[in-house]
Amino acid sequence: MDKTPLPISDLLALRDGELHEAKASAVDPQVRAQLTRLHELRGELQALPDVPISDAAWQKIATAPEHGRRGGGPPGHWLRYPLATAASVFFASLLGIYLVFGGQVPVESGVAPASVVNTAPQLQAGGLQLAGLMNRSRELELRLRGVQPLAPASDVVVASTEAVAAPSSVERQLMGRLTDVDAQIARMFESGIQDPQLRERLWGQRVILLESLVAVRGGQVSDLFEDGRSM
Amino acid sequence: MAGFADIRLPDAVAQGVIDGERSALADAYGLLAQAVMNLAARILQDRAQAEEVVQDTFIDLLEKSAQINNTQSIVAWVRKVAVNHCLMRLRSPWHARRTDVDAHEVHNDGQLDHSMQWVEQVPTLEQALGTLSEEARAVVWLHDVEGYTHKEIGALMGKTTSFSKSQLARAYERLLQWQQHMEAAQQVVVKRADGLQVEQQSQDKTHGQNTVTDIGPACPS
Repeated sequence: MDKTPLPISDLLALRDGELHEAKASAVDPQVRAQLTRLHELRGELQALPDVPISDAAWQKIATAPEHGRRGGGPPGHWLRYPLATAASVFFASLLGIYLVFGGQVPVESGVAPASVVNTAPQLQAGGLQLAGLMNRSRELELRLRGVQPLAPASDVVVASTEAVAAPSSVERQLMGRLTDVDAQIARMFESGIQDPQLRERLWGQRVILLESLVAVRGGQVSDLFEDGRSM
Repeated sequence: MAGFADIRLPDAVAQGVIDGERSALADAYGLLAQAVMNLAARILQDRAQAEEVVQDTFIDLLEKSAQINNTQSIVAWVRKVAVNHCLMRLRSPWHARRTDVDAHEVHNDGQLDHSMQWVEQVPTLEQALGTLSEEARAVVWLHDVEGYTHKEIGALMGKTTSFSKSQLARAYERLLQWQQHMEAAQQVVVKRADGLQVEQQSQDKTHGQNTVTDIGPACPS
């Protein structure tokens, strides 16, 4: 009888009834013991306790508008992410204001300061076309070293193996807001909602957050604080 | 743990959801929200994001219920939407960077950590699950708890069936390590307890507290 240990993948296939009968007929006591462990683990996973849900989770659903009753602007989207949206706009604006009023900002070579510090006022003035926002968003992502937009999951895993420093709490907040904005953009795309103003607002937020992230990673914000400058 | 397989939506509630009735949605929420939360929290390992998935899922149900043709398919529909919301968040590059993933699993040289040190920090299966990579954890949960096939998981994640199988194997290598270590640790505890008990009995004898000799008259010689 073949005593070669079965690899874990075969054991799992055996457990799940997916293995060819020829191998199944060679099961020995040791394999049976391993199968028992695998069954036990699956049982323990299925028996994990419930994760508590806060009461606030239902409140947002209860106040969401019903389908077919939305007005010109879709307040439901803003209602769905009120904290995330407000925080992202506030935080990004705060950083934008520091960049604007903080005086000379050391930027990377090849990038004129005006292209960084003036983008927020330009966005605030409005009128930028959606394509321009998307292009700007893409440029900023490419500058953020190795993070490719819409990368497949396997590439993301590869990216995580790179020797990059752990993100600071400011970066994590910005990335959290970016996740929220991306989720809103994706939902709008999937639901086929045609609202150019909303789309432009979301992409505008994305650009502001990305610029803030570039600034934070470049150490520009910390430099401003150390200079003792204030608003 | 509340799972989708155990949930049966009453016909009246299901029809009410399809018709857009708020009260029916509230009833459906009461029956399904916990299963959505369990799925999202275990895949995303983040309660705040898991609650967002719950909200997004039921708002989708509110908005698109008229598109559901069959009252029997609402539970499966909700599960599918919840899974999609979870995977969408996992795909976001910002989510990956933010969570600083795989800290325990991958060293700088890209090799798996086979030492046992990490096991000592994770005394529960819940925590051991949290040390898996996001993809491996998603596959484990979808396959072993939610009952998806490898083919279905591959399609959901934009990967192959083989990918799903390899991720499940990878996850179980670590979970089995954890299980074996926990069993060994429990045996140590038992031995120590036994040792203490024997020591206590020995002390009792030394101090003349042996109940056998204290009970009854001495045997006649």
